[in-house]
Amino acid sequence: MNERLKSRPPVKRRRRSTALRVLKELMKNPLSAVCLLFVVFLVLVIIFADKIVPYELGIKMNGSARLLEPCAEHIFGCDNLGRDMFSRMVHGTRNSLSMGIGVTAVVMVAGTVLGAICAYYGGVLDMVIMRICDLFLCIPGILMALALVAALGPGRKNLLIAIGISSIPGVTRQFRALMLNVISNDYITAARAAGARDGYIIIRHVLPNVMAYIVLTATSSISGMIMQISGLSYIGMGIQHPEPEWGAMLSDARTFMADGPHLMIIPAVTILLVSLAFNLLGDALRDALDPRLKGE
Amino acid sequence: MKQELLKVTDLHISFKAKGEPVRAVTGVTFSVSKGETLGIVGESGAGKSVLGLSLMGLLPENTAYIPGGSIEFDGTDLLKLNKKQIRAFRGDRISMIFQDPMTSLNPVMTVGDQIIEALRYHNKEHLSKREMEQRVDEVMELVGIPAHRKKEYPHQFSGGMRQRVVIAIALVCNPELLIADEPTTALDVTIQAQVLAIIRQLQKQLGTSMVLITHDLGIVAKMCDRVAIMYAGEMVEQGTIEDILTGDFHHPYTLGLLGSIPNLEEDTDRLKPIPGLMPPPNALPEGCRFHPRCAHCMEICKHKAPEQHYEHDGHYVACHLFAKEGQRDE
Repeated sequence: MNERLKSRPPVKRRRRSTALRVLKELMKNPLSAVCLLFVVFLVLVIIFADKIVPYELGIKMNGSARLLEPCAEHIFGCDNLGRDMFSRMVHGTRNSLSMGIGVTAVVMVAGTVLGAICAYYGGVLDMVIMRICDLFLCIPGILMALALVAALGPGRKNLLIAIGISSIPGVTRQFRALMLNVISNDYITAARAAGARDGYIIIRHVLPNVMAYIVLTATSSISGMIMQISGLSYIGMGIQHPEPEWGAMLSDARTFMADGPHLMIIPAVTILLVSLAFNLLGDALRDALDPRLKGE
Repeated sequence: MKQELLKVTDLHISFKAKGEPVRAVTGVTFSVSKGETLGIVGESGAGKSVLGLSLMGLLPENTAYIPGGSIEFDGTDLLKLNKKQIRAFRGDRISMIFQDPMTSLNPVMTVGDQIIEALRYHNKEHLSKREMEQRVDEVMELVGIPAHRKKEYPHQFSGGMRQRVVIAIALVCNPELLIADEPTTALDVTIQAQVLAIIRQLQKQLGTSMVLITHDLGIVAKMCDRVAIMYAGEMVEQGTIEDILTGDFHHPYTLGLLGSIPNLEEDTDRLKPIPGLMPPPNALPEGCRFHPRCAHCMEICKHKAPEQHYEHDGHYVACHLFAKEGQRDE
């Protein structure tokens, strides 16, 4: 027992140093550093949205401020109902981005777990899970999500479930193929030969070897997820009016493209920047996570 | 009296396939004493590697199965153990050196971490973290890698150094039995000699028994005490190293293998390869499995599988030519 306690601190120190190393690696490249800071900034916006600008400003309609262009009082202008765009954008972060990240996280975790189980154990279990995935993959993802939301009723939780279920099969298949490739390597047999448990092999040997790809898939699918949420919100199946949501704002703005171009430009540019930041960050993270790509 | 450490009796290994199961190993019997090295020699596809994996209980679970036989290690039948029990043997009392050091090391883990793993799984001496690290340093020095390189990743090592790491992983728990599946096939000749020297020296130092799987008779001559020749899933000849490399009492296949090595003392224009190919395990010929390729094939060879004929205790040949002593003519 004593020895176990003694053995803890060095392990912790080593873990932290890996995280630090990745962070250092990210900060070395100015591009990835900017992306990282931008993502940190967005997370701060999600947390402190209420402190930045009151939610009511983005909800309360104001007839005299319809389609107001950006000015000192409303830095992003006002939308077709006279609601403050800045407030809507800031609070929209909570819906769009946190839902996007949340759905992505759920999909990636589920895909990784299922993929690992299929790839590692194979046999009947693999067959059953894969056939179920095939079944789900027969139906186009967005249609599937739509049907699920329609059945479950709109709302954040159901949106998450619907998009999750429609995206998990594809991701599971992809990760399974990746992990099959890793598992066929001798070092997995070697780990088994050394007496490692199955769970340990998956966590310590298989996952670190596919982590870079998982991170890349995750970061590059965040923007897609945001667009899926937007799509569902647009037809009234996702985030409900009058709650702000980037994709829905973008869709609404189409009608007023000529009168208030800022209504479209602001959310479009934001979504673009967010996707770009996550994609670039994913690339940088993949490089930082893989010791083989590290220059010595 | 030599003490038997590993005793394999009438072992069969089959793979599930469409239609008939594929019989990779059929009725193999051998034993390894403490401190002894047994060489298992044969062509590719003879079932050597499958045999090696079966000793560790590492056959692919979904496709391979063992219809009969036993693998006794120090009195315990490994085939009767459950997954958890066999894991206690793996890496601790029996460990394995893999063929290709390029693929048998995890590319995203430092070599030190990979060596320490087996120690962590089987911490029978309740070593503390620091003592484990010390043990890793010792093992690394033992195989000739400076201990300060343990924080490096496999891609920073050369092929020969990587194979030393693989050996260090296999040795870190002081195993009683080492299974080396073509440990030097992926290395060039000079490094091969170094690595073999290290294995032999460590084996002597630690008193480890070894099953050396190879197709290189040169390595066998250098490393082994006893040799088993495998052909198409069977052991066709078994004996001490002197029995196999000298004398006249040999299976035609063994002679074929010996004949295909260049001899430095005699002038030879052409090596004598064994004509034909080994039969695939799902289409084994009737009778003696070697008969389609055998220069001494007789009528009986086509129908009846040969029995083991002993020259003396410990050296047998499974061939009809030896049905009666001295019947064979060159």
